[in-house]
Amino acid sequence: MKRQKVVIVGAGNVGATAAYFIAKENIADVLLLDVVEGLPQSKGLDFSHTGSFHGYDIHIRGTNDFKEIKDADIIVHTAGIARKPGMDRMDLLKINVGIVTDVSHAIRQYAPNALVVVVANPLDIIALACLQETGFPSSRVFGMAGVLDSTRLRYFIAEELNVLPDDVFSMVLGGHGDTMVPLPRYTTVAGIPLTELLSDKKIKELSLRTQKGGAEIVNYLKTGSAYYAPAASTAKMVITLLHGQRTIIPVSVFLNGEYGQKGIFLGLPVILGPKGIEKTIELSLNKEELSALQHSAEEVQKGIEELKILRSSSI
Amino acid sequence: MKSSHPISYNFIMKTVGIIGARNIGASIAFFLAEQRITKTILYDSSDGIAQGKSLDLMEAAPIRHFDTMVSNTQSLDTLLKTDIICIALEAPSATPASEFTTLLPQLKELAQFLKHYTGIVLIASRANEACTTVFSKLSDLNSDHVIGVGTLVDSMRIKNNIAQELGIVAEDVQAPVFGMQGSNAIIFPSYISVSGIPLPELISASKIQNIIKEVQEMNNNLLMLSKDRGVYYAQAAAAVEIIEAIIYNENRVLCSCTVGNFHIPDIALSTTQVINAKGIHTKMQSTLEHKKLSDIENTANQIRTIIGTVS
Repeated sequence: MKRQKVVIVGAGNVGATAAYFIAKENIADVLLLDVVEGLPQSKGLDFSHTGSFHGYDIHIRGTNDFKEIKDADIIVHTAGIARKPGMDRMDLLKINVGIVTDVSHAIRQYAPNALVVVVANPLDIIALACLQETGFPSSRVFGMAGVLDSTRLRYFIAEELNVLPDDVFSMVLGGHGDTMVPLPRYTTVAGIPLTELLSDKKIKELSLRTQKGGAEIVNYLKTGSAYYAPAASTAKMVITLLHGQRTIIPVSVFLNGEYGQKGIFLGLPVILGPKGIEKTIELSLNKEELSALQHSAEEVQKGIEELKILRSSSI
Repeated sequence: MKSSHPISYNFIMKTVGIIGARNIGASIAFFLAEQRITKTILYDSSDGIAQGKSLDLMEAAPIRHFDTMVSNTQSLDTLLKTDIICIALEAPSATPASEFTTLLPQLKELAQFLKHYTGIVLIASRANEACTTVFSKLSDLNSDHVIGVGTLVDSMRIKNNIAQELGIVAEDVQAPVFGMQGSNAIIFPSYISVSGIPLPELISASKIQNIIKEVQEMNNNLLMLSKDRGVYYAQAAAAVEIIEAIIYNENRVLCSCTVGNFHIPDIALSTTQVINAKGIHTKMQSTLEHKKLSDIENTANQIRTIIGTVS
């Protein structure tokens, strides 16, 4: 039986930590790919040295060579830069779209059957660029955002109620940014609706903290951003795929009319299975929830306009 | 198999005593050994059973990589120093009432014997709410320290059936079950959710009703299939879930029963409870009690009927 292969593009903190979580499952070889010479090799080798403690049967390696993604079953795209002082959104977008374009072409050439999990930011835009540049069906290109946003909300709720985070489930939809839409009506603790356990005021407070969850970490770190929870959320999706399981989770998914949206990526509940996105689940959202989702979609749409401007100016 | 739990190196391994080494008790010892999280001591009033099962399990250890001990004792006194005692007495029979009647004399003796026990007692026998009620009352232990696995097993079953219906992993499903195990279990469709999504948005009302009915009848059907030799894997797995919550001090929200739930002082009824190293940490009954108190009252009466006049 052939062992599965996961390629993680970008050997920074998110990529390397995701590699750690995935390798720990001991079911798929992990290849770290980065353009910085020596970086992915060093991380791959460093991880391999822990094999005697972790009992790895799998291989973890690093490479700078795009050809090595050949026959990957799953590709995780984390490569991109963070916004630096003096840089505007378009500068950032230009660099990260450039990176995902190169990576997507390599994926199309060397791993035409892979599933692609997009993690790099701005997530919903990079996912769209990846979909367009690989030319893959939209079931095979999707973004990691909702899992991270909902795991943050789950943690905040668990902390508030003093219960294990495992027992809290939640749905956070929309774009991956300040306009994300936490859904208290779709949040439960061991099945009990959250709205029966916490006051509206407290729920609003925790929802707001979730929306600013990434920024809260950046404010602490000052020169970096979160990577443990983003990597864990990425790994959760990859591990589900590796095990051939089907799960209902919020994922940034390309829409073709669902929720009245077309041609954009937006975080929504889906059935994720061995072949990628099997179905987008349409929830019975109320007016307020729908309008928050609409607002979030408009924000994503603004990013898409920027992407269009960028592309037309580079021709 | 390696345990998925992170065990720190200064972790002092807890000891679990299991009273009753037949199918439920031995399966609990088996699951605990595979998880490598406790030292386990098996006891059975019939000579040879605890010795045979613990030896059989330990002989699997070199292949299954247990580094924990499953031992046995023929003296109940040995169990007084444990952290958790799990009562897994069993007498498979067609009805909870007849099973309870058979177990009652042993249950009474144990309640007397464990009157001053300082650990947590977990009841894993069938007729669970009745057994937990009687043991709690007669032992006079703090009710937060006497926990019955209760409807956790029904909750597991409903998760499994819904996961199969939707073709997804069972861990996505949350399904609290209230009252008592088995055919009278109280299940509200609106409290079942999949990754936070209320089940009625995913499956039709009639299909949900079918699944609920199937789960309520599951125990009877399995008993029939086993020719009344007993069903025990799910019951044992539920007990291990609670033991883990205690050992790791997890604050897990799990269905289980203790005396005093729903403000009914004389009966152990199942509901969602937060469980940690101290036993029951808090109840999490939400607004249920206002909604369906009559169902709960009926269930309490059914348990009273099973128990009869025990003193």
